[in-house]
Amino acid sequence: MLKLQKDPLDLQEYFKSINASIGACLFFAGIVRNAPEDQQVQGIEYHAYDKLCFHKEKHFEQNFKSLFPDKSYHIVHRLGYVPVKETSLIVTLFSPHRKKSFSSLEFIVEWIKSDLPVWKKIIHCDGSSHWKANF
Amino acid sequence: MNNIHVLLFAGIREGIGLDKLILSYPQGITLGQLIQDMETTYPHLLRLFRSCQFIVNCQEIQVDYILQDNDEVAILPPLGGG
Repeated sequence: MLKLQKDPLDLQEYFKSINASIGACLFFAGIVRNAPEDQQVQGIEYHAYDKLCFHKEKHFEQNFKSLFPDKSYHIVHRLGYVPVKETSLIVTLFSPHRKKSFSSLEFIVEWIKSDLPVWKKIIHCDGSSHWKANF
Repeated sequence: MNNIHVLLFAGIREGIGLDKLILSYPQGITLGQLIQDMETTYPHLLRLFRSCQFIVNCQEIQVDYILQDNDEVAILPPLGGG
């Protein structure tokens, strides 16, 4: 499941999805950080092509289920301006066991980084900005 | 004439100053021709266009695809989610 939202993300919310069949729950949180090696960062502005995000996620979910049949996930990506130290992404992985949970979580995060049509604009403290791609 | 809806994102959106264009072409134009037309019209974005992915109606399409009336072409600069 994929959700895109402008409101701040709350990790506690995802514990509510835990049911009696889940024995392992892993979280990945992407945090907006300053990059002291470059210019001082104030925050990041995230933009998405919503329709394509949901379209791609449907296909990804099928692929994910074929590789990790006993696991499920919940992705929430924040859009709009996100200041430094706030969370831009939460991926929650649910599984009956811990086995393969870490690798399946990484599989999801790598897919988000490489395939989800989301863009980030780095906003610097001096007011300048630039678009930054993932590598 | 066919109306093609071109969706713009990130640096392309900023460079053109619009989030969407509606372009009219005679029937039979290909995706590749539309890309060439965009590159000619916006030469300051040529380098960025060359790194973009072009999606038609949410599908990855070859450049020889013949565009249809009301097709939605999305120009996707390199991604940066997460």
